[in-house]
Amino acid sequence: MFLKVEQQWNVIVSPEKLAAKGLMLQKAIVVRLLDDFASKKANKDLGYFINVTTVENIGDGKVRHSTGDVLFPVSFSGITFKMFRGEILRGVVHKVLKHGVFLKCGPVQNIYLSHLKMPDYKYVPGENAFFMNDKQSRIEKDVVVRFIVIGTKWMEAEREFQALRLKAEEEITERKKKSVDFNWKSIKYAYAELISIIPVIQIASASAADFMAEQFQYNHGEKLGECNELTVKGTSNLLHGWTKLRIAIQACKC
Amino acid sequence: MSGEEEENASELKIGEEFLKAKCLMNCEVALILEHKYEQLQQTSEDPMNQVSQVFEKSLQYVKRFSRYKHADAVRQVREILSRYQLAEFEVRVCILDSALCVLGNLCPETVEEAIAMVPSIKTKGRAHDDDAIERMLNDLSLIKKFE
Repeated sequence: MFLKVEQQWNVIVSPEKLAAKGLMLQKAIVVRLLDDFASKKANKDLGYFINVTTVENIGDGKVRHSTGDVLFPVSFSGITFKMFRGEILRGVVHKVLKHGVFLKCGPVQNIYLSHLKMPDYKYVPGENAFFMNDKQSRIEKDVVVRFIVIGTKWMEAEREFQALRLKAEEEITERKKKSVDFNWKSIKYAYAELISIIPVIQIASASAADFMAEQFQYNHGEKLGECNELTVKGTSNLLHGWTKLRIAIQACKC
Repeated sequence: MSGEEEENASELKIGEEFLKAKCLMNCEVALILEHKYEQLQQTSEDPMNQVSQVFEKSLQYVKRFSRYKHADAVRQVREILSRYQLAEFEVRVCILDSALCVLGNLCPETVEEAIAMVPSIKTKGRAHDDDAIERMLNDLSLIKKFE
C-alpha cells in the first residue's frame, strides 16, 4: 500500500550553488533532494519512492573539508509504495505464461501468480494465451486481478522488488536439468547473490515455504534447508530465473 | 529475515519503522500525484520527461484504481472509515490505518467480502457486528453515488 513517511536525509550541495541571497540556495537544496529521491528509486524498508510531498525543515549546513561541498540535513515527507505479506491488492495482468501470470501493480512490475495458486483455472494455449475456469472466467492480458501477497524480497542489485515463479519446470529438458545439478554446488553462492528476491503471490493459502520445500524435493529428492529458495530459482528457466542462473554459471567459470 | 516474517498485513502486523508512517488510499495518492503532475505541466513542456519511472507507473496505477475522484469525496471516505472502525483504537493508529486503506481501495460490496479482506474488523475488542459493517459500506456507496 501507499505510505506517507517522514524521513531525514543529508543533501549535498556543491559550492557553486551556494548563493547567499534569496531563495536560490533553498531551491538548490530542494532540487537536489528531489533528484536524490527519484534516483534512489526504492529501498528495502520503505519500498518504492514515489514523490516528495513537503519539505519540513532544512538544518544547518556542514562544510565537507575535502571537497567544499555543503551537507544539509533535510527532513521531509514523501510517499512510498510497499507491499506487505498478506496484503490484498489489485493488479493488471501483463504476461501470460504456461505456469502462471505476471501482474503489474503500481511501480512493481513483476508480480508472479503461479497456476498452482489458482487451481480452478486451466491454461489455454494460443497466440493470446489465457487461463480459464469452469465458469468461463478468464485471466488474460490486461485483466484486473485481486491478489494476496504471500511474499516479497528485495533485490539489492537492481533496487527492485521482483517476482519469481514457484512452480518447477516439468518440461525443462534433461540436458538443462543436468547442467543445473552439475553446477549446483559451485554456483550456489554466486547465484544467491545475483538473485535475492521473490514477491510471490497466491490466491489460495498454502505457505510459500512449504511450496518451495516441495519443489526442492521434486528436483533433488532431498531437502536442503536453506537452499530451497535457490532451487526454485534454479528450476525456473523463464525470465530471470534461467537467465540469471546462466549468468551465475558463467560467473563461476571465470 | 525474521523481521520480515513478522510483517503480515492480513493480521495487520507491520514492522516497527512504519509506526510513524501513515497509510494512504489510492484515491489520496492520486490526488497528490495529479496535483504534482499539473504543476509540472505548467513549468515544462514535456512533463513526462521530468518524472521518474516509479512516479509515472504509480500515477497510472492510482488513476486506474481509485474509485473516488473528487477531493471532497476522498475526505469523506476517510472520515467514514475512521469513524466506523477505528475510534476505540487510537493507540496503534498506523496499523489500523492500513485496514482503513484496504477497505477504501478495494471497496467491498458485501459484509462477507469486507470481513474476508480485513478479518480484524471482526476480531475481539473491535467487535463490529455485521450491521455496523453494512452501514459503513452503505455510507461508502452513497458517496460514490453522489460524487
